[in-house]
Amino acid sequence: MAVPQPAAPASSGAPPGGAGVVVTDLAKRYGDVEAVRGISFEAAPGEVFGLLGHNGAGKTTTIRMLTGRTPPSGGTATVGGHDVVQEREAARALLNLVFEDQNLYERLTGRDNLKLFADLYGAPAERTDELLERVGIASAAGRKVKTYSTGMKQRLLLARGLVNDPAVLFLDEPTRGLDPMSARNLRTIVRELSAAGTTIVLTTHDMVEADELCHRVAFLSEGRIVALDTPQELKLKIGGGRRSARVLLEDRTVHEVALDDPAQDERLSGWLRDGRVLTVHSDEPSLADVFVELAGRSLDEDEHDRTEDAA
Amino acid sequence: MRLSRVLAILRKDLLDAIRDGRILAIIIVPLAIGVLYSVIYPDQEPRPKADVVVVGSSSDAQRVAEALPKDVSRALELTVTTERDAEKARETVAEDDADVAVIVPDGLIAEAQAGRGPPLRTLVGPDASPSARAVVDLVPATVGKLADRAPAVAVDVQSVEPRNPSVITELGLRDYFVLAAVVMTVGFIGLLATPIVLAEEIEKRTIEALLLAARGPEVLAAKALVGIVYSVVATAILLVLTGIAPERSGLFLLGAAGMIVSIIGFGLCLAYLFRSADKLNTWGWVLVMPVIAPGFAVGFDPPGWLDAICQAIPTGQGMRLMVDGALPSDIFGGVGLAVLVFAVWGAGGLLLLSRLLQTRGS
Repeated sequence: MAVPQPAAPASSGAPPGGAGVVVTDLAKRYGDVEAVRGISFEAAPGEVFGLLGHNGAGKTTTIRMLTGRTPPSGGTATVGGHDVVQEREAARALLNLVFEDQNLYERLTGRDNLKLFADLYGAPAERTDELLERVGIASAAGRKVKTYSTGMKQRLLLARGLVNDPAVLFLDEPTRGLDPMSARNLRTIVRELSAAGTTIVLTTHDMVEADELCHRVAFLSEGRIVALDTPQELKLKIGGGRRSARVLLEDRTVHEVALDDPAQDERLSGWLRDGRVLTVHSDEPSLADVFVELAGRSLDEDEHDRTEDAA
Repeated sequence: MRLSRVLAILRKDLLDAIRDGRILAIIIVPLAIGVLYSVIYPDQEPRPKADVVVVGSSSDAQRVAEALPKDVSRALELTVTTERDAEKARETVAEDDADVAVIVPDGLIAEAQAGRGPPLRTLVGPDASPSARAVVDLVPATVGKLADRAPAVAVDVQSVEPRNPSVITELGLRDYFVLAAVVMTVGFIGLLATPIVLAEEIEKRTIEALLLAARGPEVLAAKALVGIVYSVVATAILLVLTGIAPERSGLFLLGAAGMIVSIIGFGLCLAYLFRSADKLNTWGWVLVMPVIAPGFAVGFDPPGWLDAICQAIPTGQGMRLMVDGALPSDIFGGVGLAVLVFAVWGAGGLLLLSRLLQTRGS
């Protein structure tokens, strides 16, 4: 049975004129600190593009520049074919951002929150109810947001991100803090958006999520892109190229089988023939392994940093 | 700048802020204090009043009716009506609807000019006040003036203006303190309520979402408008509740509007200084006190150095203009300086805030 992979984007490679994201030598300096050091990448219409890296790698600064909220120190970036500096208003009309923080107006209802942004973007009035329905919180639309669960707030944030029907949607840690069911629902919506041609730029610390959603990912480290490819290729190229499987037999013993060794192939075939195999797990490296390899530090260390930052 | 975006943010802020207990308290407390002032302080002592009916069908009667109030000047609040029928005038006085009736015969002024000392009948009501009787004594002099006859004694009355007319004497304690409560209301809204609205946006990062969908100046204009709307509504409510009607509403409005705009401009900068609604709610009160103090001080003849400080602060200038606007003539004057102070504070605050928003990538 084939393992599900992210569907291919509507187009690949360089986006056609007027669509997607094109970043060329983008840089940002804060005083003596070079937050982003000349990065380049492209995201095509319908592509889910992951920006991964540890804290301080330059992801947030990159998103801030691409959404026109901070001017770059060098390089260029276009969103939907519009330069984010020279044609900022035109670019902004085509993009939206789902913030990492749940920055909602808690004393207002979900509907009022959404209506404000619908009015700001000049979206039609019926758009509000459509989106509330789409993200599954229509029944709570009249309640104040402070009564919402974390998952409901995240859905409302996603609805707000879609209020102007953006061609490019930036998602900053969209499933952080969500329960598995809410996270799964949100990923389903992301896939639907991608299938409909929306370019999605995703930043996340969840490597499983990146692996599951992204067509391509770029790893940032110290303001530079240190790797950019499909998750599959990155795992094969950078993860050590291991070809092995872990096999759990009915006697509860676990065996590691090298798939490029004919003798061990025969052993595995024998177990399969005898019906002794309970599960077979690929031992291929994960994106987390790639992350550690590239960033030179573990995700645990990164999470530790995050906790300290929050404190 | 798109007006529709400004109005969308304004609508949201008005709806959101009024649900915040802190904001509600900040608006209601000074209003309640203003109403309390109007109750506990005595009303200004009223000027004596007199109602006079001038009776006659000739132009002489009309001339007397017009001349009497001028001769009485501000010493008496005189109401003069005319009546052709002497009998009706008598009934009016008898029913105490008028204090005095002055019956002017035809040719009265010509007779006086000829020096014939014409008779002039006056009817005085049973409850006529001493002020009304004083009007009766004044009538021969008024007729003499109209007849260009020199009086028996030429009394040269010169009006001497007080060197420093007292605000309290002119306006009364009650009205003065109600106007000071207007300053307090504007100070609270400008330096606490409005910046708390913005500081909360910064603190909770909702402003990031706003600045993605709207431009910095649009957000800024909406935030300033929130304060202006609350201040204007609160001031109007206070004036209506206390029954204060300015004599010169244009000057009064200039003082109130200038003070509101400049204080709000300065207050919005505080939001960026504190960046936290709770901190602002704690420390903002410390700043509010010196800013609203001039509103209370200007009327009590402060020493030179304190007066200079009061005049450099928009609340001081706002109070001066509102006091002048509440009276028929200026006590303080200096509209030009007031406008300059408003402009410096308001524009300075708004420009600084605009700059802050731009550097944040708006």
